[in-house]
Amino acid sequence: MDKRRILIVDDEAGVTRMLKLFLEATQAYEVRTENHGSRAVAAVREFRPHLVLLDVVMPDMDGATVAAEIGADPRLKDTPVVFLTALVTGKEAGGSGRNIGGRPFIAKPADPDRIVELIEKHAKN
Amino acid sequence: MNLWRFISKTVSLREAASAIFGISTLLPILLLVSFLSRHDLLGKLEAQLSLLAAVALAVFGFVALRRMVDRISTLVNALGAPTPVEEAGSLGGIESPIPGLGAVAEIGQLRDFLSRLLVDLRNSTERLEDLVFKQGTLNEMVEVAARIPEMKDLLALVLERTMRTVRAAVGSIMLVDRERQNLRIVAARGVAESALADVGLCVGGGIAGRVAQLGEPIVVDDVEADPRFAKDCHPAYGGGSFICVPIRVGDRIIGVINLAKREHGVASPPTSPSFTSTDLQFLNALMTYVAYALDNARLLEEALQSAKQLREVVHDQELQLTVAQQRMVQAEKLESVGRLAAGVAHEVKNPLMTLLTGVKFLSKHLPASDETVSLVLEDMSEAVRRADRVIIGLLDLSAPRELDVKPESVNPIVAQSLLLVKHDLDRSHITVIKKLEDNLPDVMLDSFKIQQVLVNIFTNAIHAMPEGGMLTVKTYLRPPAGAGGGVEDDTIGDLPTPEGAVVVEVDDTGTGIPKDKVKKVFDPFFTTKPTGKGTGLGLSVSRQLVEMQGGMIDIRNRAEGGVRVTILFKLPRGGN
Repeated sequence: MDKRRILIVDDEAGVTRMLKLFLEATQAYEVRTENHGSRAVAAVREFRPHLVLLDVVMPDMDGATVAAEIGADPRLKDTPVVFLTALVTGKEAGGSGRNIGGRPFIAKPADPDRIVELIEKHAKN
Repeated sequence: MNLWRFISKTVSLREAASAIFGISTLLPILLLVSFLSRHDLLGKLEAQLSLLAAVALAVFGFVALRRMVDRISTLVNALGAPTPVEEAGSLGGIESPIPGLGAVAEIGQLRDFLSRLLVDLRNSTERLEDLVFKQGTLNEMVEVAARIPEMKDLLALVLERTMRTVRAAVGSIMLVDRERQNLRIVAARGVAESALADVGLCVGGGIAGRVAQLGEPIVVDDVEADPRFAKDCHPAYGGGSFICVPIRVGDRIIGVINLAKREHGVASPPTSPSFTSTDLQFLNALMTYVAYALDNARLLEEALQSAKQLREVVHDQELQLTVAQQRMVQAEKLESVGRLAAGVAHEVKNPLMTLLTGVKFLSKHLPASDETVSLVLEDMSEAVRRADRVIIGLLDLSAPRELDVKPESVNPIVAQSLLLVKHDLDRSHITVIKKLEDNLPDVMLDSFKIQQVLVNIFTNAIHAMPEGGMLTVKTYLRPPAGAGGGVEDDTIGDLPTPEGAVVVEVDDTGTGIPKDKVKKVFDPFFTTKPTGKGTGLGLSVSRQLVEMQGGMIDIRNRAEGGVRVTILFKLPRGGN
């Protein structure tokens, strides 16, 4: 079975590096990371991930804009996006039904096992 | 006999004059008749002398009588009253020359005259005294009215002095209530208080009502016989004389004075006396003065009342201002903490994410047999979660909140919150006592946020009782401030709740808060819990949530040990 392709976009290199390490260690995913929001859409076009883990606050282009561009591209619009965000309150983080712009999110610092659950739930087959 | 009657008794001048004239003319007539029958005797000198003496005696008697009558006439004229003597003189035209008998009659007449004069004099003196007394009362009232600012004292004094001056046994002063269009008794004397309790006349009804309506005084000789008198309203008046005089300021009638049962004066006849025209004049004059004084007193009273209300409003405003200022200071403090938190959160959460993911990775890929490594990784994991809790607390504090406020019943929220911590309560062997008052009115609140607050408070209580204890949760209605009702709590006695409030009280039997730290419990990051057990943000957030909904929260140590948390939700205005 082919590994699922996961694109992680976060300006924090430590986060992307550590998540890549964790996910790849599961042997279930092929992970690519991108630390610039502005290069994220190009990375999606090129990598064609089954799911994008997308940080919200990034200096050059924020996650919401990246998601909008993915959604606007007919060839990419079906790519699932899960937001990773540090700007949510405790209550929002605890709630599971909330989303950002219609997309699911998970609050940092997130338990990587929980991230795996989300990937399994939302990734394209 | 006749002579004796003249001497011993008082005779009229007409009788005396007739008697004297008869006696003085009888002797010469008898002599003349005697000499006419005996012509021979006329030649004798003795007879002639006798006749002459008799005529002289008659003339003398006539002159004496005439002089007496003249004297009496002069005297009577001088005194200015017609007397029987004068009538006798003028009618008879014949005067009695008997001075002794005249003097007796004169003395009798004079005595009668002087008696009448004395009665007149007494009456005049009494009237004069009465007028002087009334004038004195008027003067006193004018002076006193200006000095007594208290309406009640002024009314009582006016009534007392007026009743004394016109000798009334019963009296009352009624003032017109413009709004209700009725008369209200404001002062009364000679009537039992209980008899007046329910007295209230409509303007236009009864005598007082008519006087208040028409502005004309009414004097009644006997109230029993007067159909206008509203006896139902005045059972204590009974019969007797009655007077009602309007009290007016310009064209405006502000009230009436009722006076009844005039008492006898020193020289009054023994019949039941009525109020006189002098009484009426006096009352009219007095009421003119009194009206202005009463009006001034009323204005002063109204002004004082307004000033008092104003002071209360100012005090209330000051209190609210102080509370608002305190909240503002707190809000500013929280806002700056919030701004800082939002910035810090982003910067801290990313490294925490890296750490947590790293720790998880290591825990999965290091040999499981090494317990030390597992322990280290678990501690690291817990440290990350702790740091995250602090950040989440800070974000909670600063996050903009949208409240979903609607009328809610407090008791179900309390019960639900207790359910949420049931597991922790059981684990810590804590007994829960619920005293939730039935039928509490709904209050405006966001039930989810209040549940968050209550869970926080219950969690604090559980942490304060690690060895078990008792958690008492009480809800009750607190009546409006100043309404009494025996509210036993004093924990939030200084918080203004003019509308009344629903109170939630949570008592624990834990360790309490050190005295010097009680005031700091709402400060962000303040905690009495061991390191790692609390962020110090729970109560800050709780207070913010409660106050945003118009409620209040207070925390104090209980005298018997432990802590009492009181949350108060104001009732909507007018909704009690």
